[in-house]
Amino acid sequence: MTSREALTSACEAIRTEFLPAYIRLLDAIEGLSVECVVGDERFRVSGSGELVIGEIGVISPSAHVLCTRTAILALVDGDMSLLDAVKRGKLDICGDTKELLSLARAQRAFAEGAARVRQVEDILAQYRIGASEAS
Amino acid sequence: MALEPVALSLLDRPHLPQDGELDPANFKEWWHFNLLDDAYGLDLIVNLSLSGDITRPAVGEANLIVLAHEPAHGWTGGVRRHDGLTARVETATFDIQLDMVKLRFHRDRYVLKAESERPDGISVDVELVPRTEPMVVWKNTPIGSGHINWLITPYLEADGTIRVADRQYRIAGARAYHDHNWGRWLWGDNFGWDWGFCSAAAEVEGAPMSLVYDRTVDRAGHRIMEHSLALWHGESLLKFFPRQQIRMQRKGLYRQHIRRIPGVAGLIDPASVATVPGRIDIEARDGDDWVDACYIPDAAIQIAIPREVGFGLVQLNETLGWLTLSGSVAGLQFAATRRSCFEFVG
Repeated sequence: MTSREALTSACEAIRTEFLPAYIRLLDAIEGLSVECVVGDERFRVSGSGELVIGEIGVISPSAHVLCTRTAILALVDGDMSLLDAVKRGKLDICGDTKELLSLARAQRAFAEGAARVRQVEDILAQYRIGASEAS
Repeated sequence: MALEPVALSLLDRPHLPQDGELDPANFKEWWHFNLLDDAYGLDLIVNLSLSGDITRPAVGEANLIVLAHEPAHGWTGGVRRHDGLTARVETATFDIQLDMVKLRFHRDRYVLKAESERPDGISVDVELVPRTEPMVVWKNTPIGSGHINWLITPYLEADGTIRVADRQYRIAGARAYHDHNWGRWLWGDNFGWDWGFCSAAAEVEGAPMSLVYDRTVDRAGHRIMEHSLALWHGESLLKFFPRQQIRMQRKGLYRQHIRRIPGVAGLIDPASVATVPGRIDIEARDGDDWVDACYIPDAAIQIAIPREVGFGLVQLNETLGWLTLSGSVAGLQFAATRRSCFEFVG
């Protein structure tokens, strides 16, 4: 399972099972266009009335996130904090302050949903298999 | 033991919602076991919980927490969540199977078997024989908008094997504790609690003295709903100090890093855990009977549960440490320092 597939599936599960977190996520991501680079993968997460996780477009993104699958799993497993990830160079986030704050709100809304929706654990298990195969 | 094992088996049965009962979604129940092995310094926590309607798919949960703390390696283990329908639950006694885990009361003892499929996980194969009569607090104690009930067996003797990653422990005569809670409440409602025990804290006139402490409060800790200190001597309850006879004081803050499980909790609340006291002092007085206890934690982990009311997390802080105890109750005098466990919830 790719990072893009995992994120898409997890967001869909949160939308179905815990709508309040999804609405909060949509609200935070509205107007943002974030280019995500996870290892060899590149995809775009944007909000314009709905959440879109798709191909990199021609329009310049308003923020960039750069990390690896290993770093994502370390964050999800609590083995590394967001601050530590940035300090250790495992996570790069670039954008204006306002956009970074929105991105932080979106991340937290996603985590609130992920913690409540059991299906996300299954998605994470699939993602782990992909991560171990990739490494 | 004076209480027939069959009676304990019945008392410890599940209290699942009945057909047609209102609000099965608020139903919660768990069986909790602590094992303190003084020989290895190994501490084990096993908790199996059921919540919601476990008779229908995707609406109830059956979750298992297995945690071990070793002096040289710290904490291992975590939380596994399952659809409630996957749990095989006997209704007339305690006998639950969940994935590779089987927990039950058989003849005169609890049998816990939990296989970990992960090489870095925890496998448990232990039997726990109750050495005290249980205490049952079955009066729907209010917590938030709901209520909770409690069965406590403060001292059991544990034998068997525990594997933590590649480390094998043979357990013989370890001190253990068991409780069973059930009721209806919402995580995130306005409540919290402090709870702790010390199994076989002291040997007094040839019999073990065990202790269980409990304090149920509002989330801020200002309003006390229940406060008690219970002591067992040998098999029997020796003394129950009610709220009017107890004073408790938290002092300082536990300063070491506290890991949160599941790890995703750190992405919801990245702040350091600052809700564990550095020390608590408990005083109980009733005429000539008195107890002084001081608990200092030296290990802590947080089980973070998403609030069911709004966003955010409820913090279940599990701690291990040393309880220094002295007192005189019913003419029995005691003084000891022993490994102990306290939980701080809010």
